[in-house]
Amino acid sequence: MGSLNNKCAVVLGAAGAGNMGQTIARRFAQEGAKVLVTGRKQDELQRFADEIGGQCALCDVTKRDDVFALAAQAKAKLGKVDIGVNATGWGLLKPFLETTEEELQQMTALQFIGPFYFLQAMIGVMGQGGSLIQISSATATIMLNDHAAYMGTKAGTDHVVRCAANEFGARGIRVNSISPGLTETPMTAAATATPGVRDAFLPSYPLGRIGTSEDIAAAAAWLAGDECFMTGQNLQVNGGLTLRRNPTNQEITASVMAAMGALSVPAS
Amino acid sequence: MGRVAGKVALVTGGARGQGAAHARLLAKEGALVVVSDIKDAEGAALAAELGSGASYITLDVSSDESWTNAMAEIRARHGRLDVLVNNAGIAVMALAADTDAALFERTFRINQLGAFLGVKHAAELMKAGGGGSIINISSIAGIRANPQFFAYTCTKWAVRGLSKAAALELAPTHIRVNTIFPGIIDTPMLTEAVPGLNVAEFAQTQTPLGRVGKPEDVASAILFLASEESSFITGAELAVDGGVTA
Repeated sequence: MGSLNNKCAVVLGAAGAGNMGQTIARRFAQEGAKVLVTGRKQDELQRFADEIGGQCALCDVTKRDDVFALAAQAKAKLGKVDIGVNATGWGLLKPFLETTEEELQQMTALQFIGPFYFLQAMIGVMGQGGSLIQISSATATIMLNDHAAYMGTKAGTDHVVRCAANEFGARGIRVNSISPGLTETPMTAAATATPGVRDAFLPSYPLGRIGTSEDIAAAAAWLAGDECFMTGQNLQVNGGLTLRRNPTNQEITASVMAAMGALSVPAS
Repeated sequence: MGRVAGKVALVTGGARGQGAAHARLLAKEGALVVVSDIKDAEGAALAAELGSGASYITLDVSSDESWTNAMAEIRARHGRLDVLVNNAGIAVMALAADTDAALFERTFRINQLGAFLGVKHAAELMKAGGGGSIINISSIAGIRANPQFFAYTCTKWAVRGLSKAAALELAPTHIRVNTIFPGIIDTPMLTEAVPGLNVAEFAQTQTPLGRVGKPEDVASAILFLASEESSFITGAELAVDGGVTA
């Protein structure tokens, strides 16, 4: 008997093998929910939907028509929508002064306008009650060098989450966000695989490790269930990272250099 | 299999209201619950209702000695402690102008000193067991000041800082420390603090979710933070308030 029996859930951002969206969707399915996974890659969506016994639909969060069509499809395929998760995002690394107009447009479309439409579209097909969950970032609260476009759009969307929570609470619809820190996902794999990077970040984590998608999925499962009386909140699921600070660029560089030095053959 | 099966959980102020709801849910999910309070008759009755795994001890959270005795009893009975819910608290309606030193000090001793003593004593026993989860109960008055409850507001803000500093200090020992901020919850504490208040009606106008909170709403958050489901969450703040502070 799962905590999400008889619930119908849409998880957006689940087209990447092993990504956070898939981990959340799998957890929801294990808890008894009927799940529709969605994103941009049909083959992977279909494969994953088959794996968890769910359904799938294509959706590019940066396209308004896609997002509203997704809501209509979800209603048709699932019969109703109780839960919506938006786990899309991209951690653009770009120095502040070098961030281009095109990049700002892309990041805004992906991480502010898209999530706004997702909330509009989901609320449009939800009835009385339900839970909407936006995946934010610890960097919406604390600093990380060279991620201003990423961080600014994440923070803006957290505020939109609060607006929606305030407005649609009367319908019993709860809207919250979750802030992971550095998490083991395909999105961060290149960074965390670089020697020295993980070591640079670990001291920022009081609990002594970086996160996993399962950590986030467990929090999402709780937020999604009817026992949760929280709304308009931003839940920090990052091992206490926001009690500290991220490493600076200089600290990351020093750690990478040290790791590379350790990898090279010592001079005899 | 319960979500906190086999964990030893101490709930302060557990005889009634929110504390009783926490004790009930933790016990239902398999925890060995130690109900504590200064209301012995009500506390003992609740422990009896919860079955053989549960027990009651007298604990005045404002007394260092009382904590020492409680920890000795828990150590003797269970040999460990996995969860502490620092729930005991008082709320007296009084503006700063109407708060005398005695009221401020009494509120401080129960709400703030009590939470500190809980963290300090529990951490010692938890360390021996390899970790644990401490859940401190603040209030929405710890997010948005309520001048009508001046001393209460002051101490509930203090609980926030206490939680975060303790989270940092205790993280290396695998003890997680988090804070819950209940909103307008239908409990004896609220109705006694504000006589004549129509809690349901008041909550409906103040709460975006349009209803008064139930002790069980807060208990659900307690269970989440007590369980391994939240094993990567420490130093976090959960407002369980139906959107009041959103």
